[in-house]
Amino acid sequence: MTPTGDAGTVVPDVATVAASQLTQFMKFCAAKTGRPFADDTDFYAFSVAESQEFWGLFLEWSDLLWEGSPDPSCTDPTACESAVFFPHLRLNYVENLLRVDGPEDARRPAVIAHHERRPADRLTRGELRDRVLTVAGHLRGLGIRPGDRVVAVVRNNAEALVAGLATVAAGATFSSVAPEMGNVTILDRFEQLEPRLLIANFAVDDDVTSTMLSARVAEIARALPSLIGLVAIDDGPAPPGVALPVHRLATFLAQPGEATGRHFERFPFNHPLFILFSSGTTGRPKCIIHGAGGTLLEHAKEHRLHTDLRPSDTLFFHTSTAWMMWNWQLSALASGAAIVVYDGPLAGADTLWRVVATERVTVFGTSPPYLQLCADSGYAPREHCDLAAVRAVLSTGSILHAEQYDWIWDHVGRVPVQSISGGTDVIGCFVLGNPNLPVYRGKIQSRSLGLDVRALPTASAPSQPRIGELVCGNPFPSRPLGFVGDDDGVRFHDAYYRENKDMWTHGDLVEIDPSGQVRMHGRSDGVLNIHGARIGPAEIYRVLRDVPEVADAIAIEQPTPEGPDAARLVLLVVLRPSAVLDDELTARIRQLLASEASPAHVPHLVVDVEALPVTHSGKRSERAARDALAGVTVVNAQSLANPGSLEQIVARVARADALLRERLHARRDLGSEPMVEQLRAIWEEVLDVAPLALTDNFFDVGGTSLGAVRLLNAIRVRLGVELPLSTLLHSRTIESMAAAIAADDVEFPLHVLLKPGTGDRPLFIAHGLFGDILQLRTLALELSTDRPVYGLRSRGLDRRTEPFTTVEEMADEFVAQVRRIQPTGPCALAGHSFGGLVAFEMARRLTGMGQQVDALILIDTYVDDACLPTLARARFRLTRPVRKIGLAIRQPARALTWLWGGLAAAFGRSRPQPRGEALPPLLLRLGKINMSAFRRYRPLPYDGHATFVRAMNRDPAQCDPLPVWTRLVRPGLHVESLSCAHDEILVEPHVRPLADVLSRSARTD
Amino acid sequence: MLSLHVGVSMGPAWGCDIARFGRRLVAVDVDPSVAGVAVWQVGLGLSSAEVDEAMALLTDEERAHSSRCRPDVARARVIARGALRIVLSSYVGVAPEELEFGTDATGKPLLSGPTGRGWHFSVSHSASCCLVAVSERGPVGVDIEDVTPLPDLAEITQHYFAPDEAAEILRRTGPARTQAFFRCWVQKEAYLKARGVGLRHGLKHCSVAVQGRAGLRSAMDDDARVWLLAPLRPGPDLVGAVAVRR
Repeated sequence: MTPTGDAGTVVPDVATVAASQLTQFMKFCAAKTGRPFADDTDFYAFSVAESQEFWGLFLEWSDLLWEGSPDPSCTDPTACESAVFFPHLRLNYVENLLRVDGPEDARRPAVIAHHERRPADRLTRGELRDRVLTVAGHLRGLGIRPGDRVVAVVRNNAEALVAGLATVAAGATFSSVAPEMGNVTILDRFEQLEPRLLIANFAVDDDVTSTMLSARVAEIARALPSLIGLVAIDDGPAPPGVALPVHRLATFLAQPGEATGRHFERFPFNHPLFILFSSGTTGRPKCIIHGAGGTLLEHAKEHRLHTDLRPSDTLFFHTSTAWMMWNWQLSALASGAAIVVYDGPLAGADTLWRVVATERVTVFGTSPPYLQLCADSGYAPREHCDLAAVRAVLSTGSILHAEQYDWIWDHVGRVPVQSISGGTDVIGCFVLGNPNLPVYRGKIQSRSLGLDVRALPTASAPSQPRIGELVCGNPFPSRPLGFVGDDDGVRFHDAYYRENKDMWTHGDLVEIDPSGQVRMHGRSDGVLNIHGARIGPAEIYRVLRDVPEVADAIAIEQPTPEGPDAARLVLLVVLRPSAVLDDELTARIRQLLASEASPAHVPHLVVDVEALPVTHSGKRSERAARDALAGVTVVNAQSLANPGSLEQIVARVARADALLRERLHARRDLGSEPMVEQLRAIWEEVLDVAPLALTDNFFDVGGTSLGAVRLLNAIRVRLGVELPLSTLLHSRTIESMAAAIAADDVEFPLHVLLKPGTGDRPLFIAHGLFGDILQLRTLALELSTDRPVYGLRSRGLDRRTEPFTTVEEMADEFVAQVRRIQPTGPCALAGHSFGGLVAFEMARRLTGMGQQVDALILIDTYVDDACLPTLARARFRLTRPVRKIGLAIRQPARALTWLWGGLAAAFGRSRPQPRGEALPPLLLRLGKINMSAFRRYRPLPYDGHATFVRAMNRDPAQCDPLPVWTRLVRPGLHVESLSCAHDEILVEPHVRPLADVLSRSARTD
Repeated sequence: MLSLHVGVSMGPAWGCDIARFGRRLVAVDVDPSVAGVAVWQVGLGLSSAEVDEAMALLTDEERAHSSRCRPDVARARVIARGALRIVLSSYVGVAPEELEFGTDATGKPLLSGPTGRGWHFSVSHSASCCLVAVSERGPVGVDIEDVTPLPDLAEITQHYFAPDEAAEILRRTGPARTQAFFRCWVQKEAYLKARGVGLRHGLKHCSVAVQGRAGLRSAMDDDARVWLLAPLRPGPDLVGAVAVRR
């Protein structure tokens, strides 16, 4: 496949489309039905309108092994909840996965199991089939019968695959979890199943803990009285204190002759196959029973038609045995593909890519957090690994953001990015890839064939009418058979069919555009209900990506004593190192949310915490935080990797709350409150109603014309903001009024006090390339000077103003700011990197106005090579390596991302795990603008002293600016050298010597 | 003079039973110089049965409009709208629940349909009382306020009222100042409502007589002489005004 397309798309070429199994199947259907299909949209429409026919044709085309009658394919295609698929068909799931056509086929690879510290295990199709048949026979010998339940605590290795396949081959139902899950979590699930057999890893690769694992398995076994035995899939120590027989997989395999009945017995199409777990909001996890035929058929359809998997493929979908993707990738054997599994930890960003390269994986599946980890750590897989074989990257688990598509295309290859989404509940996908269609950044290609997937209009996202509740309007084969312990089906009905009659309601928000492209918008049950307004947290997170200080966040609804409808929105943020949640940042977050999302998205409280609760699988748990804040038992505490985070969250929210109440109650100094809170206080006072919601309509809570005038007068007197009397005609809520105020004013100060001082000669430090001064805080705090230290940041960071495009404009504005703070007296100026140019130009201007500049410090500030004397320039241009900053000239985005990557990694060092995001789009944009300002700026001579701080590890791609500065600074340039690289200079430990230099140079005595 | 369809008593009307609610409507004396205008009043302290009768007259949309407010505001809105429907139906000759409303170009509500043509109205309520004004001679505006001391009276007067009004109000002290303020306010508000501009252009836009005979002294983009302003005294501690085009 040689995909083409512009930057935001990958378009399959004609040959790929012609050869795809989807095209072949469409032709097959066209011939069988006599309908010509105009395109994929047309075919999808057919698959839904004639779903009965569609599934029959797919069964025929897919050449699966079965017996009995394929009629009817579905008892009633209109009976969404009760229709039965292929009631007269019998098959064996494993027989279809491990079908071997001749000795050649038997020698093809089936499973490659990678480990962290051991060489990979490899099984051919023949070997795998053989082992599965042997083990299945032994399980029968132990007394395992069709319909029995077998549970497993196993890592994602080859033995787990063999054990799982053998279990279901024998007709028993298989259910697996991962050993890293807590025992309470595991037993919450397994106790409901009354399992007959427990399969487990007794050893871990790390010997130190193997006794512990064995002991944990023992605890699980003791809690499951229905067990008749245990099967160890490794040679770990026998679990202590268990009276049951412990069998060994290795022993089974060593005695193939003693296996009972080496054959595949065929079971009804709707014979139970897997039980998966899904934790609901209350009670124990749901145990979802999936049928053999439905799972097989749906997976075969998704693999062959949507992913185009075939025998030449090697699929590596990184998963654990506890996730539905384990079952999904297992079924890929039925398409003839080989599967790669990995049971080690994610030691670094390179871990999985190395496996991909080693095994020449053609289809790699992962999740957005792993891709984010790679992007954050600045790792570019393509530069380190041979990824030529990769023809598609799949992602699921959470929303794959548009920038992550770009990242894959930049750092992995221009291959189709298939974001797929479905769930445990359907053991498959509602929306996924399509080999015949282009991939657009940020979008999922298509809906799952045969499934009537729709976006049902919902009140959940009133601001975006195209976003709706994901529903499926027809029956589909992988609809679960039911829940364990729900014989009358009431819980099952309530879970999926109660909300919308005759439709499967999945609980996701989805947007389907007219061409069939899909965008997911998060869970609909994660929708917050704040004072009756329903708010999608995903919208909040999207906006927060543009606040550079925020590394991560969750939005939670917290009930208040006023009742369930009076819940308030609490935003928990994890800040990047050295960022501070001060009133300015809080106000900026609120204003950004008000203008970019809606006033309803503005939180009542913004609270900074050190960590958000995350589950073992790395997902943020809004529910845990919500339960903790509501003061109720945290239902899923066991599945949290960091339950301790909850305590801090509760404490911090309580503190913030107390602080807020104090402020509201005191009503004295409104000046430091965020605008919405200031307004709220005034509204409550004038209307004599409290508490008011930020979304309350002025006239609906008793506001009158006279009240309006009194309100605007109070705002005028108390806040110094003169609003026209007509304001309440269009801004009728506190939040829209705050937004109206924000839209008019220039409240976003470009100067920020980084460190207070007692002196009257401030030091101003200008922003670097990305316009932000976040990184300057560490430096400011390290300074020993009595000067107050101000950071000067870029216009445009608030997204309401347009950034300056030249160094001269920036200097002009900053000079004005400086003169406001320090109207006449002397001041000191500094600038980091790009900021040095701004500081230099400011110094020129201030001295030109007769204002004294008693220090000017340029921190490793480069100049455009056009500033070099002619000869030096020619020499530099001949010798400069074409990379990194040099790259910026042709590919600024990539170079900037590289720069930021270095910076982010440097910041990440002080944290256990680098979190957060790659360069936020806003900073990227400012970086580009400043880069072009850098290239255009031509410094003129300056009649004053200056210090030039030089990073000794000079980037060879940059010209040496020293001759230029020496020439321009007339009375003399003082040079200080630090042994570090350009992008390390603001970071520990290099920031200390830098602070020393600055403190010395800006001495006031 | 205005003539009523069903006499002065607001007895049982058409489709809905408004026996109790209708009786609560009382005519307010209007200065005889303002001919062609009638003002009705209803107190907001009604029984729930009476409010239910008013509610029954409303359209779904009107009910929704009131249901999203604070309960006391919702109640006032239901009563005001019900009163307006009953009053208008008596003049227009259409059942109260069948009246249809629209808005004119400035957003001011009006009666739609051929029967409603030529009728003007205005509604206002304070915390305790609601007024409905009907006019057959031209655009009308009515306002009512509870007279209560305001801590910010001086600030508001100084900053938002016309200079001559402010001078006259602030010359007084104590209850006289409060009285003068509200007398001024209701006249301004009634005039601005009749014009259909509300607070859009601010309050300095016009100046009214604070003392002596009520009246519009000047208006920035209007001929003050074409407007009649009359004070209303719906009850103790209540002050109102009605404005109508001559």
